[in-house]
Amino acid sequence: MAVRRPLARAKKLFLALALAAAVSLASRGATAEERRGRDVQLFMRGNGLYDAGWITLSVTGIVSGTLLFKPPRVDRAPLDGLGHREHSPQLGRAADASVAVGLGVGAGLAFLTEIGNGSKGRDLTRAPLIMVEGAVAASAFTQLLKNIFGVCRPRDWDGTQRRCLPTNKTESSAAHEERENEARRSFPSGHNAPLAGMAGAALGIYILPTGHRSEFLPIALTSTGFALTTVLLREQAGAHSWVDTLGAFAAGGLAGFAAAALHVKSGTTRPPPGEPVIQRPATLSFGGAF
Amino acid sequence: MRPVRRRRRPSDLWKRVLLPASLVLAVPAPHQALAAPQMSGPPPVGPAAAAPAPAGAASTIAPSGLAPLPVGSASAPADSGAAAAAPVIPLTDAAGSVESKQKDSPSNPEVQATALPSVGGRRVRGYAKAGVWEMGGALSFITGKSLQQVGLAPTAGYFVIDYVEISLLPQFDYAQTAGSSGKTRLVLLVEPSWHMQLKGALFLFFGSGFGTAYEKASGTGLALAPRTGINVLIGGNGVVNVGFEYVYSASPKAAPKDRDNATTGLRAGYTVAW
Repeated sequence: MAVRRPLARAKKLFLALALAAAVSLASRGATAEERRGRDVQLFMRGNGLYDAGWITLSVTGIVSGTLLFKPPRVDRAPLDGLGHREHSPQLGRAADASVAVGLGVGAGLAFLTEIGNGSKGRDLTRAPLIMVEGAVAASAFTQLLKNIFGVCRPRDWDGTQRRCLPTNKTESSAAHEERENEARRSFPSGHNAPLAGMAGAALGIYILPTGHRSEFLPIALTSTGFALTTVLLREQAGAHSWVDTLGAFAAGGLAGFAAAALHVKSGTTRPPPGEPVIQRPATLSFGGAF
Repeated sequence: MRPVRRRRRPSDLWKRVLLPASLVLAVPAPHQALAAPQMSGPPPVGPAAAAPAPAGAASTIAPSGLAPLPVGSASAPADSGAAAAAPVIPLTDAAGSVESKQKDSPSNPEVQATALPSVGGRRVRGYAKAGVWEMGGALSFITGKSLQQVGLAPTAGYFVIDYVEISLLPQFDYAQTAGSSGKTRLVLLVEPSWHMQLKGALFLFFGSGFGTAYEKASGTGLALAPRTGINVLIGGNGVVNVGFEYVYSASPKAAPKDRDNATTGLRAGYTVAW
């Protein structure tokens, strides 16, 4: 008859306990995950000064890129290699409408969604603020970048002479100078960037919080739809090449997503919309079978 | 002195909107429109009608929306009294003009391929051009997570500028969710949409509908419906619309787990444009 040795049994028990403790501490239980959850907050790092600085820098970038800096006077062909395209004022107007409506719809829907979430006071401006920050950051990025490359717009590119020759030259020298500059600000597209920035910011507000904020998915889809529509319209209008529009879409989307990421705060508990916040005590549980 | 504002008389509305709409719905076949007596409405107005067409440089299009006919061409059915009374409206710009060189010019064959019939004396326009009306409807079948839904959505739209349409989309849905009885939902959307010509009679569109949704159980809430798809012009003024849509609605009064309702699906519809 076999006799169990007490020392061996104690060793096994100790090993099992140690293993259970290690696994339990390494795992993320439901309660622990709630306590370490992420959510987007109204201000970057909890301080409105960062947001004011972000917007000020972005607006300064937009104004400087538009009025102060000039593109180099070079004859650089449209980047997609498709050369000259006819100008279409009607499609250009449709693209303008797409930008105006898209920005208004994006910010407006974000505000309505915050109302629907039951946000109160200044928290009502959280999602619209983040989306506007995404839009202006993307716009500043592209407006500054336009002046570095000096790429010619397809409508102004003369393929036979391989020169950038703005159409509809006016008599006024100042206006002609501005037209010459504008003809070389093709890359990246300034119409697409703010819409893509809003789409990126909405995507960030949807994805980044723990458990996702599903109510921002339709806003992200809508803003992305407006951005892609403008991609097509601006190319078809002869104002940009595909590289300009798709480049602005990608860069603007990243800038918007970055703006949303700067609003993420860890360590918050984010209940589903409409459910009361229940503070639960942290617990540690052991389990095992021998 | 206060400026005197002229109120639009109801008869104007009748002439501009309802009469053309009724004619379009009553005469769907384009080849019959040429001989239809009621098609000979008031004389065409606008610069296209007023400007004399230079011989050999411009062409005209018959109200049927078929191939353009040259001015004074012997191929026109001159022996038909009804056809002679029908408006024949210059469609193209003079060759060599600034307008004719633009891709939006009526001289462009791509634009001619989309020309809609002149109904009720209205000027001939290409589809998706400013001033075009569109009316029709769609039937939808949507499937989502434990959801089956059928819907009816009449549509009325107007192109405010070229390629941009504002539509009103009332929608009546009957939804059956798993484990519960069917329920009716009413959605009213306003949708700005953009229509881009891909090739000939084929258009790509994107629309962003937003408005309200109502259900008896959950009350009134916000509704969003971005959608994208294609428009195909058929038979003169018919437009087949096929699109992919995402419909989201949120009702604050509903229980938290039922607050958000998102569905995706295909929507096919038919409209007439004039």
